Amino acid sequence: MTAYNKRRVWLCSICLTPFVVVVLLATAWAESNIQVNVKTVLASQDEAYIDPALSAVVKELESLFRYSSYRLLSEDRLNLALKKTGSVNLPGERVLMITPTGIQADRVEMKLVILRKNSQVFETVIQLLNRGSIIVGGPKHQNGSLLFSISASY
Amino acid sequence: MKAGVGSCNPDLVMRYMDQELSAQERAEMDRHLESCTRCREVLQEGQRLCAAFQKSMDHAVGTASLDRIEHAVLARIPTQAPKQTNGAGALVGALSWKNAIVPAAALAVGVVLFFSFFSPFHKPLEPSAIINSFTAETSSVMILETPETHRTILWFEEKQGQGGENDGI
Repeated sequence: MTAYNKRRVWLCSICLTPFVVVVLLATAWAESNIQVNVKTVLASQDEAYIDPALSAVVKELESLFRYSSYRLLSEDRLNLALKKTGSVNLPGERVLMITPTGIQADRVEMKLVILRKNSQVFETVIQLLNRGSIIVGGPKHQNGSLLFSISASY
Repeated sequence: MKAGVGSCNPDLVMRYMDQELSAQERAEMDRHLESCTRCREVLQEGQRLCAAFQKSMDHAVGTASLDRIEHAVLARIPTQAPKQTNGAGALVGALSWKNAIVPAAALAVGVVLFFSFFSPFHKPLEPSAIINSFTAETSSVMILETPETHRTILWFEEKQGQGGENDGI
């Protein structure tokens, strides 16, 4: 190989290396940690109020539910490794437990469990789209219903 | 006057000067030159020119520079720009636009692919969540999907002490 061709190969390698490194790092990071965000919302018909932090979500819920008020009660962020369980305290002596169990294609498989007074009332296993979210709702609280917007990214 | 060496012939005089005549012709020319003023003048003029030319050649050869001659010859030969073989010149040469097209295109394709998979603006066409299993102490459960973003909604009603219809729907 001539000196000129060696320099071309060297330059091509330099230009492609950052891209390869970024992809490898992103893949490695993705397989090691799942960022989970849980928003606890109280939906009711007592008042007309929409929390500014929920405007994007409420816009879609208004077409499905007749609630006039959506109030953000709390927001929790978890950083979970696979097979590790994180918990979020919910109103009404409830606890939400989240366990990522695996990653398949562009979805993360997670087990969601809701305990109320230490008794399991709800369990589901879902495959959540990367940077997607699911809304779990229905438990009664005060004069409305609780709903939990659970999103995950990796 | 007999034609030939004994007669006035400037060409023969020049040949005589260059020693190209035979011995007999040379002897005849010697006798002719003794009596012919005109041929003697031609011979002297020729000898003078030869001497001047020789002197000039000797001077040129004595003062000639082979390096200068080489450069002069090479300057007449059309050449391409010499390739840099070291340092910044080599890097600049290697980084010319022609050499950068392929790696730049590869990098651009890589960036596009990266953001097509990791872009936050990527709108899904499938439901955000697939429900593999569901277990609950509940009297009713609904699985909905929002029309625009296909966000999955799992709505259930707790059974313990929370009976009744769901007034929100």
